[in-house]
Amino acid sequence: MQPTSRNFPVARSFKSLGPEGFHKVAYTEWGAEDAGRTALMVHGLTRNGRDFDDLAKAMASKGWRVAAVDVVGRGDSEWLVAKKGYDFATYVADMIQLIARLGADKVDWIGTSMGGVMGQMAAAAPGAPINKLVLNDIGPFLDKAGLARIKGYVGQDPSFASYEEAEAAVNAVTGAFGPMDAAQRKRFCAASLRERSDGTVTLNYDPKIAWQFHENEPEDVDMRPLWNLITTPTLVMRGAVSDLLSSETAAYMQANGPKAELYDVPDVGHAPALMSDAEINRIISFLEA
Amino acid sequence: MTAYTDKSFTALAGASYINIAYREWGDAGNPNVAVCCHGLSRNRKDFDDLAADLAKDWRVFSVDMPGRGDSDWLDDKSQYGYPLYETVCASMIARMGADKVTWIGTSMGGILGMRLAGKRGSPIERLVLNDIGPFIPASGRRDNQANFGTDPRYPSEAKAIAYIKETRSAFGPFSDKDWDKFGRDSLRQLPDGQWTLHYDPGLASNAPITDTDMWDLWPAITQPTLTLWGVESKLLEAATVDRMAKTGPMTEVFAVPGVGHCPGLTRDDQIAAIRDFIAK
Repeated sequence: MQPTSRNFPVARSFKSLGPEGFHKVAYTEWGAEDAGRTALMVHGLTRNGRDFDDLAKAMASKGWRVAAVDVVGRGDSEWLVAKKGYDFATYVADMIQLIARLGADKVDWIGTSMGGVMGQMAAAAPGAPINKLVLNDIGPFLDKAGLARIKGYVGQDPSFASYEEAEAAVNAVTGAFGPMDAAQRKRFCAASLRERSDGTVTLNYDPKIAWQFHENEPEDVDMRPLWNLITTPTLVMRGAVSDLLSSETAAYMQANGPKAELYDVPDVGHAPALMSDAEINRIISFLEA
Repeated sequence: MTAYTDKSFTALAGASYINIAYREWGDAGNPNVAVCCHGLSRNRKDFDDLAADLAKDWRVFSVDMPGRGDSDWLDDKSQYGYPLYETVCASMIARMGADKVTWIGTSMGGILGMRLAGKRGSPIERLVLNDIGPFIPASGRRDNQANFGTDPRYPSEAKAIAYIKETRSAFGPFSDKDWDKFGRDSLRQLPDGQWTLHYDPGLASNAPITDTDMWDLWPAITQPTLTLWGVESKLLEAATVDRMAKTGPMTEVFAVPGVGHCPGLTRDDQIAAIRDFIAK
């Protein structure tokens, strides 16, 4: 019998019903289709599913089927026509349709930043198809300082004359991501960029996703009432010098709602890259416990 | 009968989750997939005969809409309606694992097919409408909903089946065996031993029944379409069938004489019409 486990990525997609009809949602799948457990990995605001390659590969070898999604407007997923469709209602509805797509009853949800906001929203209602939740540098209270920093770079639709120039620009705004070795940093940049037909290089997302940042002044976001509805076992990965998830919020998350476990990633801001053995092993041991 | 499996998945209903039941036939590796969706007060079991036949060449799914069959009932009855059903159907299509699907819908299930087929980027590649079209006269709707949501109780299954046969006589043509199955599939037994209908009586609304005009949906449909028409139907009128054949997707029509709303999809000629159309 052929081994069914795959520890290489397979590009897949499906049609999700959203505010403009159906849109293509792409996801990278790892592991065996008949694996005992399924994990859904959801990236941050301007990122995409390829951020999770290392974690997904490690989890596939441990018996998970993994889907690392490109949220609509990012990576290989379709761009919406109207900016207003880029909101959490669309994103969460897409994820629940994706979970149906995967054929799983429940998934382990691993969400970085925006993907962790979505995870908290999805997990808060009874009957959520979520087994365990891993929140990467995100919680129910978002400091406006961090949001202001993101507002400073998101959605500017830059055009770079060369790949090297683009790489430098990505590194300039994602310096807090880590830890990454040189090869991982290289892959992180490659996932961040796409080439236009005219040969210039730009970012791998629809600039319209940033509309809420552009139309509103940054304010603290308080979702603590939502947090207290969550009963899903939760692990929080926190960048020890994060400007989006404070140590006070992390302490709140340990004491309330699902009473999360906390893992601090030293010397890292927003957000841990989930590429080091230490981070990957911590996540797997939490999910296997 | 060809083997099927009853399964379920979780769908989003507003801010909460509901469990959606479906029945699956055929080879899991078959890329040709069809989904069947029932009428207002019906459920997934109405397609058992059709699906068993199609399963030789197709992977077939039949889904219970919220509040029907084995799918969850909603706490908030006001959420029953097409926006929720569309979300559930999209999740069902996603679940099927195919990029393109054939949609087979009876009555309400056909309205859902029309609504979904006309949307941008629709994964529906082929549409079968069973006795439904873009225009439904108020009189037909009133007739169809005459006993809807009355939440009756029967002391025995036989009495309950007799009631179904009496109130749903426009379905068919059915043999006695078909009627028994159709009746049984309409029912559930209560803990006290009495029999009642399978669906949530809270589905019935007090909204006034008016003509339903969905002609704006029709030109947006570009998929090949087959319409089965119960010639005596009070919901699908001859003039509507005529316009459906001449405009938009210019539907093929298979007329079922002597039947009203709606063809029961148990007879060989009806099943063959669908089988031949979707094989094209």
